[in-house]
Amino acid sequence: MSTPKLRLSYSNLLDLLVPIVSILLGLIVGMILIALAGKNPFGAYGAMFSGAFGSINNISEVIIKTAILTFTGLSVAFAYKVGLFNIGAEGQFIIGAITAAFLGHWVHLPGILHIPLIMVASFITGGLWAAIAGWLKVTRGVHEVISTIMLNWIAVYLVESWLVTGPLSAVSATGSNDAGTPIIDGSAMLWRFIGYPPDQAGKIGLLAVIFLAASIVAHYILNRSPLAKATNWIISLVIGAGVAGLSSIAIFQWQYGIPGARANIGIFFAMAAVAITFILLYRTVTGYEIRATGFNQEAARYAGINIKQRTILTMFIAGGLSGVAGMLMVCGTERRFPGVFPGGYGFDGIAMALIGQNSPIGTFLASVLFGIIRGGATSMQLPPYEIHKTFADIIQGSVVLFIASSNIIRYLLMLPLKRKGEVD
Amino acid sequence: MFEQILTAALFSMLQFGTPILIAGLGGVISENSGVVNLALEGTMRMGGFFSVVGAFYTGNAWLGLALGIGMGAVMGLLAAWVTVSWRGDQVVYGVAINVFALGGMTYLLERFFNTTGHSPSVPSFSSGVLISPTFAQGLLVFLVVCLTYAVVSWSMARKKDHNAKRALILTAVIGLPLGIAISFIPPVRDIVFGAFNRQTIFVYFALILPFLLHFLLFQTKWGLRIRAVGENPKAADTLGINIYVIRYACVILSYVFGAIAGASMSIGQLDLFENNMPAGKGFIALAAMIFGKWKPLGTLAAVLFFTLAGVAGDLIQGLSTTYPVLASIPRGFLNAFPYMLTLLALAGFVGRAVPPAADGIPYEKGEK
Amino acid sequence: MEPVIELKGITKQFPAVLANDHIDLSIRKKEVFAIVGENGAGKTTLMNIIYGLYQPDSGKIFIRGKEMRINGPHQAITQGIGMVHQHFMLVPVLTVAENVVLGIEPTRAGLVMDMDRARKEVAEFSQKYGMPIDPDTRVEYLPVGMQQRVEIIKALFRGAEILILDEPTAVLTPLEREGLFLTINALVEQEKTVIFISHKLNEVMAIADRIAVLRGGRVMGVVDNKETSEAQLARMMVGRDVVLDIAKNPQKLGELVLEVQDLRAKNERGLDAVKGISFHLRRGEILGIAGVEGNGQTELIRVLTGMAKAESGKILVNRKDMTGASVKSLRQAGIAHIPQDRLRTGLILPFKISENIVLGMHAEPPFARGIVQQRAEVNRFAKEKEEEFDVRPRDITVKARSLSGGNQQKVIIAREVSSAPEVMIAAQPTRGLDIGATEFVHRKLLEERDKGKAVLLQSLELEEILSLSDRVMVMYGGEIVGCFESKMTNEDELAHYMLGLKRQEHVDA
Repeated sequence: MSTPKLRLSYSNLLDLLVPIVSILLGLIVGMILIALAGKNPFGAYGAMFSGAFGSINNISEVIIKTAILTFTGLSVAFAYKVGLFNIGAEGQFIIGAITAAFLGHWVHLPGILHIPLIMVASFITGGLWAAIAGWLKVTRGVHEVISTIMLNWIAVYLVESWLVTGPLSAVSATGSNDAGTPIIDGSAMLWRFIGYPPDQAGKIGLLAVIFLAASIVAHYILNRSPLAKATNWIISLVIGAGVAGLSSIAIFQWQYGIPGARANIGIFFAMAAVAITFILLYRTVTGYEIRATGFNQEAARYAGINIKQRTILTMFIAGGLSGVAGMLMVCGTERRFPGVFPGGYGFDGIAMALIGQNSPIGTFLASVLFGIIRGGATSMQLPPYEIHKTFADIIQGSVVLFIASSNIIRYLLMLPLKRKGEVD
Repeated sequence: MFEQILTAALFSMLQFGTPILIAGLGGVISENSGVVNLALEGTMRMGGFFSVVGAFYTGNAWLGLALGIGMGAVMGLLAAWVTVSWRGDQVVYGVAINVFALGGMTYLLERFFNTTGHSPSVPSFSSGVLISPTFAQGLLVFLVVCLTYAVVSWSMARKKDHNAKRALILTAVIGLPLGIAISFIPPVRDIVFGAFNRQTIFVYFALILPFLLHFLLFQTKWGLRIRAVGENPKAADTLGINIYVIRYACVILSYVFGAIAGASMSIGQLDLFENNMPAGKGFIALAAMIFGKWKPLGTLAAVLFFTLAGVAGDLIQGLSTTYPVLASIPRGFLNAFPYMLTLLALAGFVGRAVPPAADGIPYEKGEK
Repeated sequence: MEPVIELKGITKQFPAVLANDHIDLSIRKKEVFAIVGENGAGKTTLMNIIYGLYQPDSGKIFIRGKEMRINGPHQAITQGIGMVHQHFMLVPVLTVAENVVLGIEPTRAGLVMDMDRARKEVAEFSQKYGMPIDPDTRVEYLPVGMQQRVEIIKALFRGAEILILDEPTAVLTPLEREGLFLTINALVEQEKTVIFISHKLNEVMAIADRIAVLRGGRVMGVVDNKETSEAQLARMMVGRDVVLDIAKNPQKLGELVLEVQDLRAKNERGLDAVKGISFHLRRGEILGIAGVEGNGQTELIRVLTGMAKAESGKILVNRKDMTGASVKSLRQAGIAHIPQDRLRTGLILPFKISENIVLGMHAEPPFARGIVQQRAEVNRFAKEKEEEFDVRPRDITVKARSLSGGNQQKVIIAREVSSAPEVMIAAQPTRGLDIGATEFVHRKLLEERDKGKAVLLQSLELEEILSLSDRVMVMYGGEIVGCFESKMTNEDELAHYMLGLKRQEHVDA
């Protein structure tokens, strides 16, 4: 009787090991490439990781990248739960961004209303953009990979080659010479919290207390039992962080424009989103139905679940998440829709979801890791390594390829057990 | 005047459609054997890049192409190994290749050429193959022959007559004279001249390929086996057909076609690699394949349709001097038009296209 | 006379089960040799070994006196062994001729396929063995009986001298079955050997010369047809006297709960499948639906459970018109369903037992309040049901895909019974289950009936229907051709109706 149990728990362990091994292998591939270029791989990686934390500015960059990657990653992971591949995260991202750019400049509201309005609007427009693909899939059987890619390109061209250079351009609106849309109102900017003067220590302490309290309360609500599993604690801590971050808005009263790094409260929204998607997927009826649909449409239909509606709803939510990512880019990082838009986050989101095994927490952790890698990659450009920052893309791409080859990795990991004769 | 516009349009269509057609046919061959290939975009990107690298370092466009093809073959081998032998998820793998190629080529572009915009110019085919008048005529005859073949095959298939010998004889007897006749009619001849002027071998390759593939798939025994493997691999297996060999061959071929399609863009139409290549053409190719019901001739028809959309933008720009109102259409809409049309086409496509039955399902030599 | 195939000590072990345990068999030329046994007795495994799809762990195979290692179907074919599988190995979109020549295609100049020649040869074979067939039809458009002929021609085309038929009648109509028996006789006359795998004793007695009985992977005996009987075979198969009569409590008939009026529906291909069905169902009774597969039973059930829409007609549940109602509302009205295909419709394999057991009731209290799931309640319910229905392993976090067929069915039954339905529709509920699980299912259905529920039992096994049902109706060609009190009829009579040989003038169902 012990063999089946061993097999079961080892297979759970494997699910965790596969992405970790893939990441390690991807990093090793990177090291090989660096060595081939004649540089010291350990030194280069050292520069990368220390670079990520090397200065306030760098940490800040890591934070903003992680925040956006989390949202696009969740977008792809969420859609996967209903069985769809959301390659359209990039397009939804852009749509959400332009929505934020528009509402940020052309609509005027006090801060406490402005940001939530923009967030909701970006969620809705991004969501609708994705829902188109969902609807097409459900009613016409159009493969979502292709429809979302088409929508991506449509979004790119309509937004970047028309809206941003035409009706919404800064040039036409304010007569400035900058490419892109005009700067958004101060009330629409996400608060940048790094570089805050030290006399606010009391307020920061209050924030820490809120964080702990919120985590404990969340844990209790989620579990109602003293038996705590690791994932439940992580979720609770993440919720705590999200709550703390959001309350920091009230505590620090929307003071913006502080000089320093660009890291903003978007990261807290991201953490809250991780928690919310987890709760939605695993603790609600809606999530149960989404997962059921993703696994077995026929059985789900028999259980009375409305497949079509659930699929479209899931795509809507997924698109909304990418839309909010776009809002983060505009309201947090760039404060406008720039002429040269930092794209690629949508596609990176795909990688985050795959590496994170399509789970909310996994996606978040993957985003943290790659936020660090990307943030630190700029430090690799300095002598003596002089490796261009797009090297992060190679690492990311390699990891994703290893994830796609998970069957092989699984087999290799099972070998030690096979030799012991405990598993077939 | 009208003739000139038509020639220009046909020219653009050939340019726009060639990579899509080659890649789309790559998709067809893979999926007919039961392996989904979403990586066309990434393969085009890698093929296009490595062709430029090869041409750059050897100073020879052909060698550059060879490197691109070699890269495609290697990628295909790897893809087949992971998805066929190891039964990896084909969709995930395809997406992974696309993700890898997207960032990877940007990095390599920087590494090799110190830029993230586009590579320097390299020896290419576009400084290319000029067409002499007789060549164009021969080409026209050949095209008519091929089209005749298509029509004959189709009508025979409808009557459930699958006899290859009959098909080929009919094609030669009807197509040759027809083709020769047409190639002497001035307006048709001149338009074709103009459009094929300064085109490269890639265009010819793209135009011949659908008919070759059709012949392969429906008139030869290998094609029968490929289709059997894609529909019911277990049945084929029990008859002693080696599933793995067939799928490996088809996947590798698919990736090679993808690489050639990419090369047709970088060292075919241009003489450099632009960092946004292939700009979604790999996915339009997939759409064309679906639209063409996973058949070579259908894919050709679909690509024809999509290229019309693709050149609409240029057409409208060309016409905007005569009809100024057209000039007010924003550039963004024109750029987005092919993608919007593809989407509408897929959406309006009533009667869901059915892929090969075993498409996307890894084959397990079942021991139940 | 030397046997054409001889097996000595064939053994095959799978991870969970010893499928073949030192099997010795010898089969003579020109005979029809049957191998019978229950599901899981090892018949198909043995045949797959002979055909080269599996390799035995130990033992020897002798073909025409020579010891052979058969490494794959290819080799089996060269040895003159052909196999017609239970699930056809045909490529639906290819024509008959293409399917037959696949792998050994005739060509011109080694490249272009010569379909003319292929067509001719197929026609020749079909003539010779009395199986007329059109070589240019796509296989997917052929009825099942014809598809089987293609499989047989395929084997003969490759020079099969020994033909293995694995459960060939499972998918045939009685008429087609007669045709198959004629073909088998024709084959034997042409000096072929036929190995016939089945668990249908009456058929085996009708066609076989000698019969081998397999149980638990071992050969229990080989008997001559003339010297045995169905009862003896059954005893050898099961190892105990099979009790074919299940003790039923006297019936306590209640009010009308389900009424179906002139129901018509099409199947998934758009053809008429249900052609005017009317019946009523009362509390406290089991109404059986008998019939050969493919006569509209599946479509009828799909409509009754809300998975498909009726073209016309009425469905009344407790006198309320529920025609065209959604799955959800039918379920709420009290219709529960044990689906025919439990893996496809009944369970979500990657879900845990606890998640599967509330499927369908997951959105209502007590399992959910509004949008929030009440996991404590779900888990409590799951544990309770595991005990009550003896589901193994007793772990509610186990994923459904790790359970055995019997336990999977138990989860489904537990779920459906617990939703306290008015009407339980059970479609082939014991398919693929072993004796123990089957008895469990039978018990539960009888329990429901005794509790005053209504049960609609659709099954392909006449024995099961007759022993469990109070009333039986026979479906043929999408209509009800007869309805009986089960005490007043027998298998023989029902078979006549099932074959379409008889119909009741006025059906009172």
